[in-house]
Amino acid sequence: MRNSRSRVILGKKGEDIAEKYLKNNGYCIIKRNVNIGHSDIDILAEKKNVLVFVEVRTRTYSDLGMPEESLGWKKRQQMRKTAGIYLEINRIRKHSRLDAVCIIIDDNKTVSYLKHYKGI
Amino acid sequence: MLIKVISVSFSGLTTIRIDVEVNIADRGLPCFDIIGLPNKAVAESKERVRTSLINSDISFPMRKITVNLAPGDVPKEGAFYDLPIAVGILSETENFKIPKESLFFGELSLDGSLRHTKGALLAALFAKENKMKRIFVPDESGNEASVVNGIEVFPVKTLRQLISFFKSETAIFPAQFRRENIKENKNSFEFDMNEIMGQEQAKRALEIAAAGGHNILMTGSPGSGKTMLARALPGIMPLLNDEESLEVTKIYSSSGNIPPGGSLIKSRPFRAPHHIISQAGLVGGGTHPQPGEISLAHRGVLFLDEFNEFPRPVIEALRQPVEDGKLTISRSLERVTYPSRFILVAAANPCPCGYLHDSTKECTCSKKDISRYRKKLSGPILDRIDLHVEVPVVDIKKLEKGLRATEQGESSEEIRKRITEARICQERRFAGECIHTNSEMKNRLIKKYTSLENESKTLLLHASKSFNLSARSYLKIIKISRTIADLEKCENIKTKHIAEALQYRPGIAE
Repeated sequence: MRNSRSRVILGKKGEDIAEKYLKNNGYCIIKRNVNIGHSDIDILAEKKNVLVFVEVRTRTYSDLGMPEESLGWKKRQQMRKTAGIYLEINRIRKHSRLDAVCIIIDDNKTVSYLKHYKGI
Repeated sequence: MLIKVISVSFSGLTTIRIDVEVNIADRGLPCFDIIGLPNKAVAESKERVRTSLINSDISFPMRKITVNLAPGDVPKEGAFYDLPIAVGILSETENFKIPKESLFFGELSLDGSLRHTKGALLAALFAKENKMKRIFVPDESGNEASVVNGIEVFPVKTLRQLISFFKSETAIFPAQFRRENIKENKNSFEFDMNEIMGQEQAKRALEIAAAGGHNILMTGSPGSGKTMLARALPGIMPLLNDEESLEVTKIYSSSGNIPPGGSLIKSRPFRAPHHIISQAGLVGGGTHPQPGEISLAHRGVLFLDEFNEFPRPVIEALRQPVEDGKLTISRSLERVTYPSRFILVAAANPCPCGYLHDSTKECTCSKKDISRYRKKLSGPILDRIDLHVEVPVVDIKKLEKGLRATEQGESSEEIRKRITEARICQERRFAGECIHTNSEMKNRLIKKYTSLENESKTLLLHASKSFNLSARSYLKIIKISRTIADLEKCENIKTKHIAEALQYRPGIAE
């Protein structure tokens, strides 16, 4: 059993990997871990004048289930709500999009799987 | 990538083509959705498909899968879309081509094998009518589907077997129709006619009913043997011919009454519902109308014991199907026609206590009781029943004698032979008329096929005047006498045939 602390570290590590990946793909990172109420946005990025809210999901072994499986309808609904609130608070009038980056990290700490889903 | 697989949808006994479109997209979050008005059984198909693929050691694609059942405005029901959906997904992930003009039909089990699925015969018939080349069905339904010749019926055991077949690694041999051995269960009927002592008149009436497809009502006191007589009826019924057999099997296939590995039904159905039956249970019904007992008794016998105890609306619902031989059930969602050409055999007591007209016991009912009891059966219903026969009490002395006697009466076997001959005679007569028995004759056919001798004509006219026969009764008598003449292999209807037919009409015998 991993404790909650190691989960936070894993999540942080996944977000670092995702940030690097997005930068390499021409995204401009605006902010990390934007807190709105009790939910947060992992990465806020921008590309071609489109604001992108990115949710990062990280898993260690693929046999514990795929990271995509934890992105159910309820989670996506919540992400949509959070993004909407963020746009309202900051009075932003821009095109925006919800993305997800799913990562699996191997035993020897290398990334064995990375997938970027646009517009979930 | 988009893959199209052909399947079917049923509405009663009619079939329409359904295109199962499986789209496996590379973009978007992995998901598995089924659209096109699926009901619960179809929607649950995604869990069966996913699990059976995984349990067959085939990886399930982590991609966005959308399944569309077209046309999108027809409600889909049933679990048989599992196979077409699975084949659509597999053709993409396992890289094989689905052969053209093939129909897929079958329910998956979670272990990756295919289960016996209802409606295989209808699907195969549909494939043939639409000039398709082959149909893939579950192994256990293979024998049922292979009744249809002219198309290849592939019985599939498991998904793995099907994949290796498409990759031409193994062969699946098209199912050949095996006729079930009927001779074995020839003596499996509950009663033989020679076990019933006496009751010669009732036996004769049943013989006529079986030969010409006439409806019959038996009245008599409790214990006189009405039920036993009716239960012996299947034993004297001739086997179904090929055309009838297909009609019956279609109904049984659509309602899921064919056992795994079963095939064409050859013996005539005998249905004996209890009198607490509901109207929908008897004539059929439901939001998606299902066949009732009358349709399950198609080309066979519907035995209603304690006829008076049935709720009146249930009995009245029998009026049109008895006359027309089919019933259309209209509901807001669907309109379905089921055939219902059966022999109605009803048994009833003459009065509430049961001993009216009994020579041994006195009836304790008041006149009012009796008239109330009889009112339960309306005139129109009684008029539609061709043969009315009284089953008197059996004399115990005779019964004892009969039980000990070495010499027995006619066996069911002998009677059946006679009836089969009479049926063949009728089939020859109605060869081009799409009917099978005398009872189905309409006025035009009566005119064409029944030639009365002059003497018989005068007798019939005389009788109809003195007994005030209704027009329907008049025609029924002609039909019954035609059957009696057929049993004797007479070309023309003679006076004695008319005379015998007359005694089975109500209000004349008494």
